[in-house]
Formats: sequence, structure tokens, C-alpha cells
Amino acid sequence: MKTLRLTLAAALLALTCGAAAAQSTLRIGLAEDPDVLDPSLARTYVGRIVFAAFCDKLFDIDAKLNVVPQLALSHETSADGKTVTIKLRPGVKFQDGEPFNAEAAKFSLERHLTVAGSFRKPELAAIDHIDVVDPLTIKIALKSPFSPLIAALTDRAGMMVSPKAAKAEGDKFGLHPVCAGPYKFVERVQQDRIVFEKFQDYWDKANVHIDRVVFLPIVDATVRLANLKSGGLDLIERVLATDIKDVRADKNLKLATALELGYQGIDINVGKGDAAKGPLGQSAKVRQALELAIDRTALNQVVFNGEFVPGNQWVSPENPYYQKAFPVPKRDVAKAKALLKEAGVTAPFDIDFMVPKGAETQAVAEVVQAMAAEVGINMKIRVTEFATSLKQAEQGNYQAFMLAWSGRTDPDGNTYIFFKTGAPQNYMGYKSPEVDKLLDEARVPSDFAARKAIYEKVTKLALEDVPKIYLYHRRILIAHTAKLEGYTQMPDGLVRVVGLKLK
Amino acid sequence: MTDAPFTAALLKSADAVESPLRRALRRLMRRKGAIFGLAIIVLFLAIAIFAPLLTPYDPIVQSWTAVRKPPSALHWFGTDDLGRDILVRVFYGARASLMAGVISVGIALAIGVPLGLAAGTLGGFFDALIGRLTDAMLACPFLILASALAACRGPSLGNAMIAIGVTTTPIFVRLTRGQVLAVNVEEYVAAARAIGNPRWRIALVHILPNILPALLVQATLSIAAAIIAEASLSFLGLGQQPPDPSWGSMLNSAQRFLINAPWMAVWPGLAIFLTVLSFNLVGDGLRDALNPREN
Repeated sequence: MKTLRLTLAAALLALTCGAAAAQSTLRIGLAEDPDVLDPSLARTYVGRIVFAAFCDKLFDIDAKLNVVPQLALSHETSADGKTVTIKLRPGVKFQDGEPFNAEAAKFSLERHLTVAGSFRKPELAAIDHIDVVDPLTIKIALKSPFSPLIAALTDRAGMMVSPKAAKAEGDKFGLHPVCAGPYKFVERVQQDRIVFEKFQDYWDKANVHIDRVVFLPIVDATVRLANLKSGGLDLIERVLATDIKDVRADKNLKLATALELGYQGIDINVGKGDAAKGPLGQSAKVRQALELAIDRTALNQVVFNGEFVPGNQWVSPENPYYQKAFPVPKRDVAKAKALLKEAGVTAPFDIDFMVPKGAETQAVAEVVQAMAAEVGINMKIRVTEFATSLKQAEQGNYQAFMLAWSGRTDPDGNTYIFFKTGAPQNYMGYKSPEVDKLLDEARVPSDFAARKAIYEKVTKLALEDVPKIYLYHRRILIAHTAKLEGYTQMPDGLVRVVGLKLK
Repeated sequence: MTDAPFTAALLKSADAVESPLRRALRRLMRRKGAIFGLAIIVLFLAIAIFAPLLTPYDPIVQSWTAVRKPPSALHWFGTDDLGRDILVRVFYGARASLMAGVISVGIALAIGVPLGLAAGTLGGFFDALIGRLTDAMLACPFLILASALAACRGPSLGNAMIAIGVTTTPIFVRLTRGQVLAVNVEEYVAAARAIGNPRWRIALVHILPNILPALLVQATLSIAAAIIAEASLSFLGLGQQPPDPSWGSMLNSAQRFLINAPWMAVWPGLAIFLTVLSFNLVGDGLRDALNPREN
């Protein structure tokens, strides 16, 4: 009898194991542990990757940055630019079974605007109020025309949350998030894993082929790649540029890339506190000299094996908004020295160069340092922990600051908050009434050519004043096993799981 | 007078005329490990002092055509991610490491020994106060103190040395105080007191010389720990600032290339390993050689 029972138990065990093995799991290696999983409160890039698995947005983007429908079907802006009407997709359910409709959309947008500590508030600040027209239509009334709105709705600001769950959980919603995406939240163990399982009532469930998605934060890029190679992971983000050769040489791996929407650059303190009072902060000529001292092509070659794209504007040379009239300048040491002389500066002089911690960033900083030294600008590197560096930048406690921006689909997201006088990320203390006026103007038209013409003027002014030196644009580098099929990379750097298959 | 604690041992010893110092040296030289350690330390000291004469390369000049080249006749240890010769960077890194080791332990000795001496000889309230203070300091993790210091004074090798020195101090306070209490009851101290010597004189002339052996051993071992600490801080970006080389920061930049360019990590790693091992071997050797109960 006892033997029989044991055999039965063993058989049962084998059966359950068999069932578990049949369930497919996609394991994704992240470079950091994400912050809170509440679309209103989240602020990290890595968090956006996780959201893409479980939180659908009103709109999405395609590979060419066109806005395409997701939870919304269409949008229409009134002639005066002050009303946007959005038609919603019918038959959509949240992961708790609640229906997605105009009331829910209004609730989600209002939550982004009102919840304490919301990082979406500035992105949606132009919204005056939202009206429900019918169960599947909302009308957004704007305080003033704001063409970047739809682009904002392709990201976290467009994420819809279940009103019932959001009301019940309050400020703890991020611990048990409920959205309308392809996977639903199961559990999260801080610094270890975030588990999702297939949502059976997803509106596009025919295209969801994998049962579970697990996100595993592994900070060290080399370790992440080793895990992918050994089969411990199926997909990893942020492969090092210097490992690209390695990934391409491995026939079990595939590399998916897209050029980022953001940039890597150097902020220069031109108007924040005493640190701005040096020659670099006071004279545009000195800043131009620093820019001319830098050989962006060599920098890219040395640190990134030439895999990234040198750039001199807030969008990459491949972006439709890139201004071709202002190409990437070549290094010119003689001209740089002449500019320093014109500015009446005696070289060499010291610059306090704040550099956020990180091996790649530090390597870039050291190359810039060596290049600048040749024209007599002595960049004294001060390695600072990232969060601290942002705080010091806010206080103006730096002269030059290496800073990256992950980028937005709309050019407004790469310019307004950096150049507008007093804007939150204007760490440079840049003040230009002309630029301020142009930035506001660029928010009005929704026509591409008209906006590009305005941004051309902004580009000219910004490149002359040089409050920021743009260096290069990274490639988003995602590596996955050859067993994973159907993966394509979008320029926003997110990992989209709908349509993926595991062989 | 100063060699009083050894007197008893000396009388029993066959060669009664040998001075304690000579005897300690003789014993030290019998230990192969200690000799090996001493040789390595002397070698690294020589490298640190004569670094500019030993190689034609500059530790901070980058060569963008020779990035991450494996060891060759031209670059014996290979080149790093910015095309700098790793051999010369390891040489200059020895300066940072040895300096950090010696200076931070020097700071700890300079603060810790006087405090320990005072606490041990004065006793009472002052002793209790110092005791609580050292307890509090021991409770504060070294990395947290170092990060706090870097945050308010800016990261630099100097600040790293201060942080290491300050966190090493309580060890010396406690050791000194304990030794003072042990020696305080010796007859020669009682004798010195009986003659009417002031307390400071007893502490400095009669007690301090007799507790030096223990301090010497602890200092040597602490240097090893301080070198590791400096490497850790530089690895984290809180110590030596780029472009100046330090073994820790070299390891940090090598981290990304463990698979593609392992030589970037091997040499600084080996250098840290060898110096720390050497200081530990010498420390162990000294402890045995200075132990009066052992022959």
C-alpha cells in the first residue's frame, strides 16, 4: 500500500513537472531593478521596459516613429488646436475583469494629473479637463494648443490603469498594478525577479504566444551576457557596444538594434551660481573651443568600437527632425586655440567636470579630458554617484556635467525641459528669451514642416551659445537567443512582448 | 629599562647578551614567508619610487590606435580600454596603494595611540568616554563613512585615506588601551611610579616603548587592510580620480572587458593580491618574532 502511494505521488510529481515544462517562459535580463510599477510615479527607463509587458497605452509608435493605435483607435485635433477627440478600442478589459471605456480613460488621465508625486503631470500639463462624449470617446480640452500631447500618450502618460484597483490600492497601486496589457502581474521580489503571466482576456490575445514573462535584474553587463549565453536568460537589454562582435559571432544569439531617441552630452553651467562664473560659463567662444577640441568620431571608435553614432544635436542624424544645415563639426585644435585667444583666456585652465559613476561614462569622460587638454582646457573629472550628481546639477555645483537623456518621440521632449528658462532639467541655467519664445511656438502647429522650421532656429541659437555639447547617440542593443522569434526593436528602447514566440 | 619585559626571558636564554631587536630580527629571518613578503614589499616600494625611470610610457597619455591590445613585446602587460600601457599604470598604481596604506595607518596611529594611552593611564570618566566613542565608531561601517566623506568633501585619494585612517583608528585605541592596562601592573611601572614620575612621563617613557611590538604587528596587518580598502574605494569611484591610475579603478574599468580583454583585470588584481599577501606575511612573521614567550 505504501509503495503504491509513493508511486502515485511520484507519478503525480512527474505529471506536474511535465506540465510546468510545457509552459513557456520568457526570461529577460535587466540592467537595473526597476523603480515603482505605477505608471504615474515611475521615472526610470528600465521600468518602462517592464511596463511594456503589462500596461498598454492609448497609442504606440512604429519603427518610423509614426503614432499607431493601441487602446485608442484614432485621434483628432480641432482646428484651433485646443480640443483633442480620442476614439477608444471596444471590447477591452483590464486584468481584474473591469471594462476599459471612456470613464476609465478619463480616470487614468486624471490620475496621472492629480496623484501625489506624479511624474506624468508635466507631460500632461496642457490638459484643462477631460469630457466623456460616449462610452468609447473622450474629448480632451487643452489650456493652449499642445501638439506633443499625442506623442506623450504613446508612453507612460498614455498608460491606462483599472479604476477599481487604483481606487482600492491608493498609493500602493505600484505593488499590485492592474492594467490592460498582454501579461498580468503575479509577484515581485525586490532585486530578484518580477513575474507576469499571460492575461487570458487580452484584446489582442491571438498574438500572445508565451505563457510567462520573468524580469531578472542583473547589474553587470558581462554577467548578463554570460547568462544569456549559458541559457539562463532568453533576452538581455543594454549589451555593451564592445561586446557586439562577440554576440554577432555566436550563432545561438541574435542582436536587435535601433538608434536611440536621446543623446549623450555635456551640460555646461552657464548661469547657475558661482560655478558659472569661470571662462567656460561666461564665454560662448570658450564653449565653442571645447566643442571643437572633441573628436566625436575618435571618441566613438575608442570607447564603443565605432558602433554608436556621433551627433551634435538633440536628435540623431537619422531622425527626421535633424537639421542638416548644422552638420557634426570636425575636430579643429588650431581653431579652438584661436577661439580661446579671442576670448582672452589664458590656457591652461581648470574645469570642474562632474561625471556620473559608470565605467562607460567614465571612459568617455577620460577621452574628452585627453582631447580638451590638447587645447589647454584641463577638465578635472569628479566621479559622482548618479542621484547625487543630479542633485548637485540642480544646485549648480558643477562646471561641466556628463549627462544622458533617453529621449522622447517628439522633439519637444528633448528640448523644452532643458532649454526653457527655469525649466526643471535646465541644469545649465540657460536663459535666452528668443529660445523660450521659439520653444513655445513649436508647441502650436501639428504640421511637421512648420515645426521643423521653428526647431531650425532653436538649433542655430543653441549651437552658437553651446550650453550643451552633444556627443553621440547610443544604439539600443538587445541580444536574445535564436530560439526567440519575431523580435524587432523600436527606437524607444522598449521590449515589446506581443507577437514573440519561443521555439 | 625599556627592555624590562624581556629580562626574564633573556636570563633563561642561552645567549643572554643578544639584544631583543636583534633576536626579533633573527627570528623573523628564519621565516620564509616573512622574507618573501618583505622582498615583495621592497620590490613594490622600489617600483613606486622609481616608476618614471622604469618605462618609456606615460600612465595617462592615451593612444587611440592601440586600444585593448593583448600583452606584447611593446606593451608587456597589454593596453587598456583607452590605449594606455597597463604595466606603467600598475607601476604608478603602486604609488597610490602604498601611499594610501602607509598614510592612512599613520593617521590611525597618530590619533589612536595617544587616545589609547590616555584612556589606559588616566582611566575613570575619560576612559569610559573614549570607550563609548570607539564603540560608536566601530558600529559605523567603513564604506558608509567613506561615501559620506566623499559626498561632503568630494571624492579624492586624500579623502579616501582620511576615511580609511579614521575607520582604522578605533582598533588602535583599543589595542593601545588594552596593552597599557596589561603593562601598568608590571613592577617596573610600579617602580617608576614610586620614584614619583609624573603620569605623562610614565606613559611615554615607560609604557609606550614596551607596547610598541604589539602596535607594530597591528600596523603591518592594518596596512594590508588599508590597501584593500583603497582599492575598493577607487573601484567605487570614491578614491583616486581619473585619469590617475589606481589598482582599484583599473579593475573597475576592466570589469566590462573580462571576456574580451582579461589582461586588463589580471595585472592590477595580481598586484593587489601580492602586496596584501606580503604585508600579511610580514605581519604574521613579526607577531611570532616579537612574541617573548616563543623561542
